[in-house]
Amino acid sequence: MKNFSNKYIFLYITALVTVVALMLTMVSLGLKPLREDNQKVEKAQQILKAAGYGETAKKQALALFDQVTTRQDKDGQEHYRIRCADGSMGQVIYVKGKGLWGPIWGYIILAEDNSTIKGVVFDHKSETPGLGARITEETFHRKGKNPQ
Amino acid sequence: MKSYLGPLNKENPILTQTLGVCSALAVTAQLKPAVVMAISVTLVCAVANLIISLIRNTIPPRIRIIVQLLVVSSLVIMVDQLLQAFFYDISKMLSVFVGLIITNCIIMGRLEGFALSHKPGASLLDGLMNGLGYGLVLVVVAVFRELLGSGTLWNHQIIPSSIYEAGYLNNGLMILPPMALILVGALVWIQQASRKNTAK
Repeated sequence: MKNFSNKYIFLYITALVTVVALMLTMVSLGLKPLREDNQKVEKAQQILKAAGYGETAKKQALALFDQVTTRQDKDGQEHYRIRCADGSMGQVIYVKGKGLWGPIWGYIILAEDNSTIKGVVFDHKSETPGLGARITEETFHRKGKNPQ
Repeated sequence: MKSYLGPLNKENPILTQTLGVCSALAVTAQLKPAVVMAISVTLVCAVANLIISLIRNTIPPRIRIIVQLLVVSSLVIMVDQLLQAFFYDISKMLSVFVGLIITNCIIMGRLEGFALSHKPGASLLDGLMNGLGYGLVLVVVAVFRELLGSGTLWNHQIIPSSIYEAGYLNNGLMILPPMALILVGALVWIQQASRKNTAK
């Protein structure tokens, strides 16, 4: 077996890590616009779902979102008013927090009376399938709707 | 050539070596994510095998596992980024399992057991065949689970509505992970039985 000096090992791993880091940075930056577009569509789909529009196709989501929402930013934060599927108006409340393995977030549609939740949608980055990842399921979302 | 075809049959990584079972159970409720996962693992396995084989004479044995992990994890991150850019819905379906390709024993097993001691061409072929062997089991399990569990294939309705009207119901158990384990078990049984018959 060939003997490698500590100096060789140190330089070898440093060079390898540098090459890999550069490649990953290039891939990540190159694909960033596409990833951001997808995230924008997903956000529109989730808010529409919480407002009772159900699952909307990728192509229609942004158009429908622009049609039924009005952007009214508050304190430099994104804020939307939305016309829900039942015709009533509501506000979109964005919530975020820490999950077990990464961020979790959601959209709550609050009715004009400020006390009725018309719908909620939650999502996560990397929760455990079958456990934490179940916050994306309809059964979990139904629990947050119109509390007594 | 015959030995390279082993992973598709007698030396299948899931059925014979019982490697990569975790993701095989998790992503096979539908055919689409199963095919994407199969392609992802095949690509990572083949390219990682090729890279490790190309640099095998320069890798100090003391840090060989670190080097292998570095190569595999960077390839997996690239696959994850590509999925998020071009197949966002599927990347959400596959969720953490794309990242877990890094820990897939098939890939590390082939790097350690084959690529470190073979030439690049042979290593590429070995990685490709092992990935395809893994993918083959995923696709077979996914076809059964989606067809019998949801009545669809690749999200297209296969079982006609007239059958449902006659009283047929989708088998809900099929889309739950325990059924995936039972199906993989059945495939192992079929494969072992056929091997014994061939040996006789």
